Amino acid sequence: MSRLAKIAALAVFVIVAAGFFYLRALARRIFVETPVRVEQEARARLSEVVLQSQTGSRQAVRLYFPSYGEGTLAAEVRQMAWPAEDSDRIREILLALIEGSRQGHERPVSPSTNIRGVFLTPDGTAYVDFSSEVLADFAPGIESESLAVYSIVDSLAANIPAVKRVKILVQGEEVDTLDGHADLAGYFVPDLSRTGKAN
Amino acid sequence: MSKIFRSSSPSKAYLVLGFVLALAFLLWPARGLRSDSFASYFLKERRGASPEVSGGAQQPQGDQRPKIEEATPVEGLPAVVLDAGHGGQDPGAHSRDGVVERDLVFELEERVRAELASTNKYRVVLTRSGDANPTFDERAAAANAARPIAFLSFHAGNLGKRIPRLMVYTYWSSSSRTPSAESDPLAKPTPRTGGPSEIFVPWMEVHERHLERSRQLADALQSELGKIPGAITGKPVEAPVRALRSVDAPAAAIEIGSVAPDVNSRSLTNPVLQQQIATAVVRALEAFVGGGP
Repeated sequence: MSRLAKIAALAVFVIVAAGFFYLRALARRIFVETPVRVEQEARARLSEVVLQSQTGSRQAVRLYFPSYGEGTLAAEVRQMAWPAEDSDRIREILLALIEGSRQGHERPVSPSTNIRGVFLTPDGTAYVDFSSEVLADFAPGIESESLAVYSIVDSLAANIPAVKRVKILVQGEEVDTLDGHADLAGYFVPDLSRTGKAN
Repeated sequence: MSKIFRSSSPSKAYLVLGFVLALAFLLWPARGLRSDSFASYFLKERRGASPEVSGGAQQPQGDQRPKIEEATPVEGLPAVVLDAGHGGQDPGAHSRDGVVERDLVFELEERVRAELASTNKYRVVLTRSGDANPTFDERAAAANAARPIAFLSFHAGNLGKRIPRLMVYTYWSSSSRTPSAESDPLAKPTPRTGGPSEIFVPWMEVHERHLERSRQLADALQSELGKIPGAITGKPVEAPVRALRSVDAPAAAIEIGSVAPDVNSRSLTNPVLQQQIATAVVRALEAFVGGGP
């Protein structure tokens, strides 16, 4: 092999390797680091809302937490900061559910979950966008996922009359299931059959 | 190519070889990108491999591709579809002592299949072969093609601390398919006239016309499962079970539990218990078929 050919082959190899690592770094910046930055921004916005809401009035709010052994939702009434805006109220309720029960009931979503966004449309559809941590430490199953979904939906609808239905998103996207069992394709309307308040 | 190697100088051959190797090296990551999304390729790398928990039932090593298996291809007999949840890289729920939903429900499904086949009354169709993991829609499509009299989906999950607990579910979601169902004329039910609306049923709503028979199937299952000594059962529950959504037949899901990270679930792999469940399922199907319209 001539000296020229060796140099040419080496050059091709170096260029290709450099190109590969550049592409890899570029893709990381787009797909991995951006979501982290978005999460940090979402967390900062959330802190602002919490600080604002703590200056407002307080109200007794009925929250529903899962009882996995029983297949039901247990009600827990809590005095909470109650902002003027419905979308801020939705955030407050979701934060309370993420914080968990103070009476020993189970948790519907992971405590490391962030609320990436909340949006209430004029027709009463509440879009709630959770971070992917919503599934962290979650024990999947038909019952557990159904209870988690209705814990959110029933808690929102029971306290905010403007909420008629709820659409659950994860990382800003529609997902097929919560964790392999519960169908999240639709817009959930409240179903109090699990809370013992139906009929 | 062989001409180059024969007639040209070795340096040219090395150049060609180097170019081919460089091209292969460059294209290597792109394979992953084509078969998956760009984002998920890198997210997969970031998260690492999915947690594998060994144990549970022995998983047969089969074809990795999603494949629908007709367990007892007997023409003329009514079909029963058995759907073992999860599979492949999707283990589903797992317990503290290493029981995995994917393997547990596969073994249970196999017992039900054998029990059903022994009656010589049914054509048994399985949606999952070996360690494949067909999508929900692939499973539903296979089931609908078989025109079954019943579809049974097997799952395991978090059912609290008590074991064994057996729950039966039918599909119901209190959800609507559009953001504002009452204001959307397309969301209103179309009267069944025998016209095109009778033929073309939306894929997401195909199961709704079977809800009543599904409840009867679930009642029969609950009745028989409740006879298993020591098993904790409850009334059938309507839940948004994704596996049942697009099934064009009476369908129910059976969840066995509890399989959760804070629970020891090894007793659920007990062959005696599994055989009792399989026998109860077949008896329930007999009662369901006998009590049909």
